[in-house]
Amino acid sequence: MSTARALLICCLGCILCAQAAVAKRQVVLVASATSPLHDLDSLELRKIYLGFTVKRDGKTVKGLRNTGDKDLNRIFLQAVVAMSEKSYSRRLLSLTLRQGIPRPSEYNNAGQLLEALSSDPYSVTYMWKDAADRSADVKALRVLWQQD
Amino acid sequence: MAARLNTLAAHAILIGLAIHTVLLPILFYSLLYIVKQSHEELFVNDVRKYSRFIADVFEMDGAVSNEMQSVRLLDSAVLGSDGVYAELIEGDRWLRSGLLADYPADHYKEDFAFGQHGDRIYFLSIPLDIPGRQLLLRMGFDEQVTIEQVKTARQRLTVVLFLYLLISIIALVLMSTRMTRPLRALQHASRNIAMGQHHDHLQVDSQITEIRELATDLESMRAELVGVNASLLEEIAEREMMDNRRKVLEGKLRQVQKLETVGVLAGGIAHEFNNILVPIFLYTEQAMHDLPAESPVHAQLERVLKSSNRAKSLVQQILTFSHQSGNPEHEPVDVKPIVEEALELLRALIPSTVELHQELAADDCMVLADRNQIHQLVMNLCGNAYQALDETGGSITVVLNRCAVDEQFCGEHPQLRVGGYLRLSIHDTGHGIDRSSLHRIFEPFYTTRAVGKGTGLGLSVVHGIAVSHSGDITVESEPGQGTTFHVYLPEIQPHRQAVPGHDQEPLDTP
Repeated sequence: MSTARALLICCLGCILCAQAAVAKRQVVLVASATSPLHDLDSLELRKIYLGFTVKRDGKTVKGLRNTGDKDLNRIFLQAVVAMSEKSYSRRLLSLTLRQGIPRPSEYNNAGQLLEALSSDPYSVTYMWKDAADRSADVKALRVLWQQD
Repeated sequence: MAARLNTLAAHAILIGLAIHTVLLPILFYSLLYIVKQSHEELFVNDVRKYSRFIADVFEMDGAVSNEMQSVRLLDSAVLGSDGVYAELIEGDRWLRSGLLADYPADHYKEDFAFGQHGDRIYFLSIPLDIPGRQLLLRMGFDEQVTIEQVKTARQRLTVVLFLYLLISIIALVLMSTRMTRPLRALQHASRNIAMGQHHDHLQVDSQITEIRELATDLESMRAELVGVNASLLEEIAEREMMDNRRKVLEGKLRQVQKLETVGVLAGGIAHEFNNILVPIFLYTEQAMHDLPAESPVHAQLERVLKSSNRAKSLVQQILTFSHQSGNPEHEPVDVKPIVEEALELLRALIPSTVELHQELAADDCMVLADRNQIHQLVMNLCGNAYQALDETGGSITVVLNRCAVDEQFCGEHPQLRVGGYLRLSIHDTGHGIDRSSLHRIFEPFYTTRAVGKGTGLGLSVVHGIAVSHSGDITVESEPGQGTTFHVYLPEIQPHRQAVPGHDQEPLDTP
């Protein structure tokens, strides 16, 4: 009986693992778990990552760039700011030089990124959904991209 | 061929070609990479922005609530760009643009870079931010257009670089030719100098400092070389002249020494002969005195005495030649009257076919001399001249003038000293003397006449007289042109200095 139960548990475990393996990857917009932010639409998100001011509760929402993952960066450029990498860099440079708009902070270390996110509840960033699910310090606001 | 390849111009061209061969492919591929990257980056940027714009339209206009509007919007998205695919997905449902028959939705693989997956379509999907719905906008754009643009750019780049290479080669050839032209000019001028054309100037028209300075240096060297060469030629000519003069002097010295040797020998013999003649004279005259005049022996003794007198005369001439003719009385005498007197005597002797001219200088042509010997000198020389004209006729010219003897003339005539001299010149228009005889005419007993027609002592005696008066005699003769004898006698004029140019003629060095 105990053997049958063990086999059943193993089978359920395998099924769950297989489901997890075939699950489509997603990139999600995240904020600190304590953040009052609930959602940001795609236009606001583009404004934030181009350095324009977007406010919630009278506070400026900051966008943090996650540059630690190459694929994540490519998805960000295509799905969020909808520009090529050079064009995005030129645009940021132009805005900085013309209007004094600061560039979004960049983090290539996940720990530092999460720390920065925790320190400011009005800051957002993007990461793989599974990474966001593993961290209790962040909450997903919306799906930015989903693998077909 | 190898010689042509080893020229500076060929080397410059080859170096230029080598550099281009290395650099042009690098330049080509670098430019091509930049062009390709630029086109691809532009394409990716455009399609992302365009897709985002379409997504914004869907999100803002609420078109998704109406299928017809959604399809129209998808059609518009395809038409407004190089789109080949536009689709709206929600769960299992989908809406597609129907403009493209060959729909590539089945091969959908999302791209994040140009050319990814090799399907020549750039696919991308954008989740639509519409509350309560999970819509996904998928779009595909044709990469072939950009690929063709890159190909065109590649072809243009190839043509441009080929033209650049062609122009570079032409420029290299022209520049290397232009740069080496002054060097070739320098080379040509240097060769001319090496071949002896030292007076060709090294003039190079070049803007290149090094070549200009090289030409200047070579020109300086050429000028110096010309100077050195000229001075060397001058020195060589001077040495040749000195050498010739030395040879002439050596010849004359040998002649003088020979005449002196002959004179000493002949003088010695003449003395001994004179001693022999003395008893002959004494006893012949004693015998004639002892014999009656009508005696046949008396007549024979007279012949002996006559012959003895001739022998005495001969001995006297030999002694005169050898400067041993007793004690000639040297006293200041005017030469002109002596010459005139001798010529008067000569006029009576010479035939009418021979003309006698005289150009005698002013009076007071004083020399320290023996009057009789000067007379004999004139008679001997004129006699010789007359004999040279005996058969053909002609003229004899006697000139007496003053002259100044300088150092150069003294060098050629060791008996003379610098100062004023009387020059007695006797010129005849006779047959002249050949060159081989000219060197021997003052030797005693040397004669060109037939045997019995002269003793060969006349000119020897003249030479002896001239030398014994501290003078000299020279002869100039050309066969068929006549002969001129110049006798130099030192002039004595205590009140006049022997300064050339007074009424003295400068000497012509033979």
